[in-house]
Amino acid sequence: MKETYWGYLIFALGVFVLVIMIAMQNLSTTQEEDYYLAQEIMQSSMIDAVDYTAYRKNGDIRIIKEKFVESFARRFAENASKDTTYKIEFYNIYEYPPLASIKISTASGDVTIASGNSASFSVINTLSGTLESKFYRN
Amino acid sequence: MKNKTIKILACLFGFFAFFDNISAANPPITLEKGGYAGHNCAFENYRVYKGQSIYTFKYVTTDSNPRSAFCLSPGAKAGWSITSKNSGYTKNGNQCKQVVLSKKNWATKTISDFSSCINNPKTFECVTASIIESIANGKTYINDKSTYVKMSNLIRTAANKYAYKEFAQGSDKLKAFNENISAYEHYDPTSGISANTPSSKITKIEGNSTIFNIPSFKMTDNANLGNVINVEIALTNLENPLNKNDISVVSEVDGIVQRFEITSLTQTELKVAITINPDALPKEKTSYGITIKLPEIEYKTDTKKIDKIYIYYLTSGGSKHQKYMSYTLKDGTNGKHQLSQLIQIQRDCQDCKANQEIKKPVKECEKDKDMTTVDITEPSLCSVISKCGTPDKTNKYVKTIGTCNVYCSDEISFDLFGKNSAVAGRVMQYNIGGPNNLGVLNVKRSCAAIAKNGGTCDTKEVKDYLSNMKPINCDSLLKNLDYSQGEDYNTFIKQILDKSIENTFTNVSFFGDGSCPTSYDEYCASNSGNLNTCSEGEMKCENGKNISQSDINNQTFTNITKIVMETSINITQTKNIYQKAYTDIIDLDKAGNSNWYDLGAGAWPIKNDMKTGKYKIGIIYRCLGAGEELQDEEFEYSCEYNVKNYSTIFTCDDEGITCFISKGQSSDSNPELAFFYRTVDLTRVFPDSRTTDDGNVIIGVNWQEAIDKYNANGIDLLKQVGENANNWAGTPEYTVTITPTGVKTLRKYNDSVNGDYQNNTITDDKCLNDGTCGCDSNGYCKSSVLNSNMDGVTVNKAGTYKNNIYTGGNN
Repeated sequence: MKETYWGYLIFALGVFVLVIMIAMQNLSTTQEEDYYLAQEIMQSSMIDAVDYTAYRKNGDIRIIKEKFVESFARRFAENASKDTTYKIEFYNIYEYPPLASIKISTASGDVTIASGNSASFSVINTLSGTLESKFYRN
Repeated sequence: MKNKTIKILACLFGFFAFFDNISAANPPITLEKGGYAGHNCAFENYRVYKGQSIYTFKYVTTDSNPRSAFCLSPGAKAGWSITSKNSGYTKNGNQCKQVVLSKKNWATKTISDFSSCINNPKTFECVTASIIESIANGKTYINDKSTYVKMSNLIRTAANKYAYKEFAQGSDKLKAFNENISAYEHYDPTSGISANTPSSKITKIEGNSTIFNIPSFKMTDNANLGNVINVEIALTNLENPLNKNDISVVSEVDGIVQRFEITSLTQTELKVAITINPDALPKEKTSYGITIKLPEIEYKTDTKKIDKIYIYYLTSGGSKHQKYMSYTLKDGTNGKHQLSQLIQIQRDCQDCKANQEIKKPVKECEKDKDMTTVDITEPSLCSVISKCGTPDKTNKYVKTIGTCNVYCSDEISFDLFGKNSAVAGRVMQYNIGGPNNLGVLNVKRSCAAIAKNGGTCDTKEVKDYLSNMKPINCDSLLKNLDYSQGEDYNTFIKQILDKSIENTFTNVSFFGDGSCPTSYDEYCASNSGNLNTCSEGEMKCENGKNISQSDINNQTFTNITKIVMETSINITQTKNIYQKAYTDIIDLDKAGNSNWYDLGAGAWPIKNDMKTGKYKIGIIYRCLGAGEELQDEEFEYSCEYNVKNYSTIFTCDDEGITCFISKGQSSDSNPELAFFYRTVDLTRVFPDSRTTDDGNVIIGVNWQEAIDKYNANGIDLLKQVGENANNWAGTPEYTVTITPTGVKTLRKYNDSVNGDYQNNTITDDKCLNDGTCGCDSNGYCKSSVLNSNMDGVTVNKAGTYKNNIYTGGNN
């Protein structure tokens, strides 16, 4: 009879470990996806946001904040998961020289562990980027 | 019950048939001997020839000037047309006259465009034509007039007309027909292709004839490429049926025929469906041909026949027959004919390269005097940014071209088509820019024309355009042309170019047709001098006078067959164009307005992302003759302008300031941008890897300039940036929360703008719920996408403004 309880315990531990593994995989995959997504979108959005008038006027490579934010949000939505809520925070946007920092928080969703108990994790990615001229002065 | 209904209908039918015969048997008008109402009309007697609804009164009159109308009784003329004429014969020295009454509506019903019958087969004309066609196809063969009686009046009339055509083709009944029917009306369901233009009386019996020459059929609507081309060929009286295997399609370019299917092949008709694969059409060509080949066709010889070829294709919508052509093949004896039909397909130039000849012949202007190549630097402006690294902004306005002129001239020759031919329009078409796929914002067409009195075009309007440069009726003049650049207009481009195209004609020479003009004054200047020759060839004025060119637009070229003149075209853009900061909107007349920057006079309509390269201003001369087909006479001159887009290619060498290319970057960056994106660590924006062996840090020109400017204000930019590095827990400038619903909403919006992310909504014409619009004087702008109305998207801006995006402007 005692051996039977040991069997139940081992089975329960196996299920627990499996759930933890799935949760961790979900977290790591989400984080990696979010990072590369953010990097690509940051680049495209900053180029979208270049102020050509300023460039033509005086040669300044300058971005426009609201263009950048709008383009980022639209591009992100185009590529993001349709099952997840994203919180995108924009920090310290410099229009001149172009520089921006973003923080993307993603709720991983609830993971049921056992006996109806559930846990949720939040994946956070931060990223900063700039547009820089290909040329430099000696 | 059923039998009863049939009986009732039969009675009604019989009643109407009886009534019809009664009315036809009693002429509504009689000839009144001696005239009526006091008018003279002298004849001994007359005879009435009764056709069905046609009455012919023949009489011999002794009047020297007989007026038949006075002989008619004032009876029931309503619904009848009356014609009278001399019969061409005399009797005892007196004239033989005849008066013909016919139903008015018979004579007015003709089918000028049979294509309408395809969509509206139940109209009167089409029903009539259909019956006639069935007769022609042998379903009902009319061999004597008794058959007509069994038909309704309308059909009978049409049948008469048809019979005319039958007889015209060689029937041995022609003679009898002529003698018994004295009024002829031509009825040709295949209007437009008849070789038998009806006369008042048939005078010629045509012998055996071969098939008509079938011209090529052009499908010019690009939208139809890829859709089905239906070709129907009606065949009658074939001696032997066709074999499917003998019917084929041949294309001059391999692989363009995606589908060739014989959808129907019977003893009387052949239908094929063809689909052209647009992708297989060579891009360097604009016209392609495919030919449907049929075997030799042998006709039966014992009956008359009309064979028709109907050709049409469907529009992209699939509902309308855009083109319809039909040809009548006249009968031959034991005729064997090889039929083929060339379908010419045309489409816009798909990949027009800078030096590619779009249309032939193309004449290049002579470089030394005829063509000016203009460099246009920077999209949407003529200024050149050629310095880098200089903190003084004003020094960056290096050069303004001023006006960007393109001048092109050459000699052109216009052939006039006969001295009575109204050459209504000689049209020049200007295509500004290049192919759309190379990034040209838009094209502009304008036109000028030489007109002649009597043409279909209004001479005055054309003249007004030439003298006042007003685009009067240019569209109508050009409507028959093939727009190789598309039809769309851009209001902005129209504004800047409408009044800036100058066209002049000089050194005009006339070539006579061998006849003397009615007046020399219209050709020779100052109303003096005579033309020194009336023979065929060039005509010049005597006494050293020049041929006038001041008013050639209003001439009546009575004796002129050709005009040769030098023409020059100067296209000038003199307007100042302004571009608004933050939004990049381009507009005119914004001088003095805040945030609007003058890009300088002479800016050209080029897109921001137009690639560096050569672009054409094409000037196409085309001829439009009134009532004539578009002639092949066409020249294209190609002046060029060069575009250097400094936002896609960058050099610092022009003004003597040496710049170097950053590591890992390419100098040959066309069409890449002159800047690149880099992920950075805020604490070390320029890490050690950017430090050279001699200790210098490689900093991009834009960052270096910014650092210098901040330093001038006592701020260490890199230090400030670094201090923000650990501020992730602070208040963000913007927070955008996107739920799964928001993802769908934004994707839907992206689809609505075709995924164009540069088409941002930070524009002046977008308003928000709070009633304010666009950017304010401080440069605070708003997005109309990221607002509180976007379902599933929440936007927060730190500070005063909530739920909308604002910016600190020009920080």
